Amino acid sequence: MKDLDIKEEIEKLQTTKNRLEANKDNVDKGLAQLVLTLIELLRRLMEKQAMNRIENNSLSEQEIEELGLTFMKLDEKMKELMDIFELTEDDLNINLGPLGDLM
Amino acid sequence: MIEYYYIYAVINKLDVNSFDIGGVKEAQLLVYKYKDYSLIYSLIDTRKLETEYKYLMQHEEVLEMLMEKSDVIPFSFSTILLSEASLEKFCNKYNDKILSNFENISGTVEMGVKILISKNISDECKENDIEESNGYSYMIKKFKEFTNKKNKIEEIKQKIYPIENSIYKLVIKDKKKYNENGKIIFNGAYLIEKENMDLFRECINNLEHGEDFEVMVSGPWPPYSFVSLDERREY
Repeated sequence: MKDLDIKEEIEKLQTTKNRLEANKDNVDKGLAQLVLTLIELLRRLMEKQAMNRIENNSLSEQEIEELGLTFMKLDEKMKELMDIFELTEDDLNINLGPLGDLM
Repeated sequence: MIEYYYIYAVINKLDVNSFDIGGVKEAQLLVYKYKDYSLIYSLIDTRKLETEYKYLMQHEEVLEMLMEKSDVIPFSFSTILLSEASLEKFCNKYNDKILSNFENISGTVEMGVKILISKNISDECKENDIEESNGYSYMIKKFKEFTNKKNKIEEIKQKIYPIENSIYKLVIKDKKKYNENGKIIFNGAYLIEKENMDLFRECINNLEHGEDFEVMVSGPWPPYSFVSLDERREY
């Protein structure tokens, strides 16, 4: 058993950008972060649903192929937009206060 | 200079007037008495306190000191009100909730248990990635990650079971969070009687742990996870 290193936890907390960063100087980035966060949430939900359907054998190979292509394109587009707005995957996991992290 | 009211906690005592230690920024601890309880605060010169280790420890030290002699409804770090009138307004508004929180946490403390694995689950699940050449193989790759992750979560639950089994008799309430992405795979908060703190640690100490994970126990904390003044969050 090990005791929790509080100092280490605080340092991690200080370096975590888990809130939307919107102010008058970076409103574009703040909005992009919000929009991309929502898209990422939806993408994960759709992907999870697709996984459950594959697991239950309720998708044909053709349907899996089509879904795969859609997710691949979405993935590429997301990476492109994240590059443009200098966002990382961690930036899309915003903190919802008492509800915890979004993802 | 404008002074702001930095709040630490509400305690279920009225016979407190002075303290041996200071609060954040070494400010003097003050007491605002209201009906059956006291609000502990300091006057500080800033509207928002930065999250610095020193200040967090000072906040925590005040709570620890208060916990020794009373039940404590803790406030989050950097809870700041604007005036003494706000203190009264706060107590007026939340009086019933404060009293019901005291009922719920009487004589208790919060203990934390975290379980860490040596390797990030999602990294491990991605280890055997195959190159995606088309939609089908992309989805099959994702599906493999999905099933690996599911199996891992089951493993986590197997690891946690003996720990929970050993402490369940001591636990009044708990809040648990399983995490499939990351090194901290489990984060639990347990409300227990103050007198059971040592027994709680002992129960976890006595367990044999696997080499691939680590159990971290923290506390005693004021019962942060089990008090709320929010109408929507009942514990």
